[in-house]
Amino acid sequence: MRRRLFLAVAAGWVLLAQKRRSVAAVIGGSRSSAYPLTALPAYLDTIIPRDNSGSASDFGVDRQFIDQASRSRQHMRLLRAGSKWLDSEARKIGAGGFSDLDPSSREVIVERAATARIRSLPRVFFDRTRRDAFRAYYADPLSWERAGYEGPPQPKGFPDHAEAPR
Amino acid sequence: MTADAFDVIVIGSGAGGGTAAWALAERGIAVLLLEAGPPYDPFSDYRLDQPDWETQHFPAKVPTKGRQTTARMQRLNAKWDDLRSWNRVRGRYNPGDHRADWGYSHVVGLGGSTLHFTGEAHRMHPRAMQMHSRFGVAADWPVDYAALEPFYLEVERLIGVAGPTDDPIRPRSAPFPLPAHPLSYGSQKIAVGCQKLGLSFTANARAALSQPYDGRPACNYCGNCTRGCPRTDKGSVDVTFIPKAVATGNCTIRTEATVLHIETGPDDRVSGVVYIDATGATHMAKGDAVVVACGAVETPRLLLNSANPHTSDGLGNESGQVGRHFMETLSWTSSGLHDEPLGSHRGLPSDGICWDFNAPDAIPDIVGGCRFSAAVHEADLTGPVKYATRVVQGWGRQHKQAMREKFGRALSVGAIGESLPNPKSFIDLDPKEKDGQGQPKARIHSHLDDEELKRLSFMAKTSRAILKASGAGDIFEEYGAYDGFQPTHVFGTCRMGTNPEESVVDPYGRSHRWRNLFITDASVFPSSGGGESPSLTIEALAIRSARHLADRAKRGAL
Repeated sequence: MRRRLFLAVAAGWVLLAQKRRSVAAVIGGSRSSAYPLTALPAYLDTIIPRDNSGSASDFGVDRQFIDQASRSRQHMRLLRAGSKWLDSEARKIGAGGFSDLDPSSREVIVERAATARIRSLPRVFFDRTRRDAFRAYYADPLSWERAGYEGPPQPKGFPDHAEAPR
Repeated sequence: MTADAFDVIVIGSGAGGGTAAWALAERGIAVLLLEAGPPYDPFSDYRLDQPDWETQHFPAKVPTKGRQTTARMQRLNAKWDDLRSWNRVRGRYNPGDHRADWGYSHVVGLGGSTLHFTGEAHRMHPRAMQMHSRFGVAADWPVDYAALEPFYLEVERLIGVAGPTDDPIRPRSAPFPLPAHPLSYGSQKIAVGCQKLGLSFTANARAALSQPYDGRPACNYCGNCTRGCPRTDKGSVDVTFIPKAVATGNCTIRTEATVLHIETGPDDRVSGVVYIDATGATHMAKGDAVVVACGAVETPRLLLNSANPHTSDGLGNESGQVGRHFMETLSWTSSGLHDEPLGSHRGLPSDGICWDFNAPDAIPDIVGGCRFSAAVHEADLTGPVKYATRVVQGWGRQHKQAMREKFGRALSVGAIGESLPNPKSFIDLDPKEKDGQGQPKARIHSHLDDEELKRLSFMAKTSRAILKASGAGDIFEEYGAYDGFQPTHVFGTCRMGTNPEESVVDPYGRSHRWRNLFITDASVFPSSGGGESPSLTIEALAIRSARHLADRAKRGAL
């Protein structure tokens, strides 16, 4: 019967449940309920930058984020709280906001979020948005060729499966 | 309340129920097949041709989360920390200090859990059917391998099983109906790794067509059997036994029909069932016999919920054994990155297997066997989303570059081992939680004792060794049953045996007391086997029980 696939799915669910609790804890008292999301496209493009393939915003990941978050008040609160944190970090180094920074300065701030204390606002924001950004970006067939993936699985399948990949 | 009359009512349409319905119908018996879930259309429900295929799992129409409850799981012990589930990107999957309940994995739909099964088609190891007489654990099967062999062969021919020509462990009276599938390029690396360790690694027996068969096309190796097969080459019950049953003209199917309880009559006979349909209307169906095949969690629940003044402890529970001896899926999976591109997302899931430790005495100093198989597809490492979120660390340009370098290099080795019964693992009725019809839900009690964990530890260490020898020693993820309960194979809660005081049904699946009540799912298994997937055995037993029922019906001996 079907076995281990669901183990991974459930494992993701446990992590998500834990993060949901964390989200409530870290953004519960913040005054970011109407904070603008202007930092979001630049932030996502730092997570997935443009090189010889498109960036996150080139693939509309930022718009997908906002669409998805608009269906969950808690999710939207996390995006707004995270955006506020990004802008506040940018202002500490004299910029008007995160989107005004050059790419290397943005990377410094994102690295700060990625290595922040577990269950802190920047870390929860980073972990959730990183996962969601990759999920949206790599679900777009435009990203597949550069990643070396020749899917989707059907209708062609992989009749060459027993041979070394070309 | 409306009432229909049939020769036999079959409850549940998975491996046990769908097969029994066919075996009865083809003998001219009028069957009513009741299924709680809806039908699935492989051609429109399984969307593996869509851009977002990877973010969708099996498209369950009936949510299974919360259908059962789970008693508090055991506390985790630091001495088994090596068996914790983890991922290099995400950390521990269960950061808590108790085993997590990740849910009993099953499908509610026409065809049952075969809709999402991988489709391994295993016969039991003959010696794994004698666990009590040989080792003093579990119970002996009251039917031996030789008696089951003709039924195994019949099932293999009906559903189209592809397998290797030789099997020194499980004697065959005829070859598999289809030639074995070739190993994928990734699995060929595992074969090399096993060879280095002195282990065998052979083609697995698979209910997936290696050639066109019985009007169905051959597999095209897309690697996603567990998301539902849109080609119908996977031998799930909905594309095999159920259409064959319908074609007899003797099988009536009612989907979204939830059975509330089984009715009893005089002379230790059951008389029919009461069920509700999708509109909430209540119906009664009368039958000369009732076959229950709801799986090892829901079958004991239905029997216990069918208690009445004539059978106050639950239907068929004269021995007090209904719900006892629950056995689950003792599983482990390790995944690592290979040094070279493999295109490992391609191929048939679990196409190769190592049976060397399958015998109940094959693992040194541990009772109960296990097996190892290629598992990258079942670990769901078949597309770029999972690589981006589970395999490749970091972010930014480095992440994109690493995606290009690492995609298709993952290899996984999965292990499943014997699950032995213990007094702390059983199914009962939840005293508080009820379903939408006011019926108590099944409550699952699961406990892994140290003997189980020793076996699991052997499985984990051997999986890692195979990966390392295969060139994929850079392990990035592992998960198993120790810290997360999420079985797909469940067994043993209505044990079959010859002694009415120690079992629920006789060797033909017939209740010891209720002479026209049969059970044809894995709840009758006295032991789980050493990692064999159970569907083929369930189907073989179901045909055997159905033929016995049909013979009795013709003799007027029900």
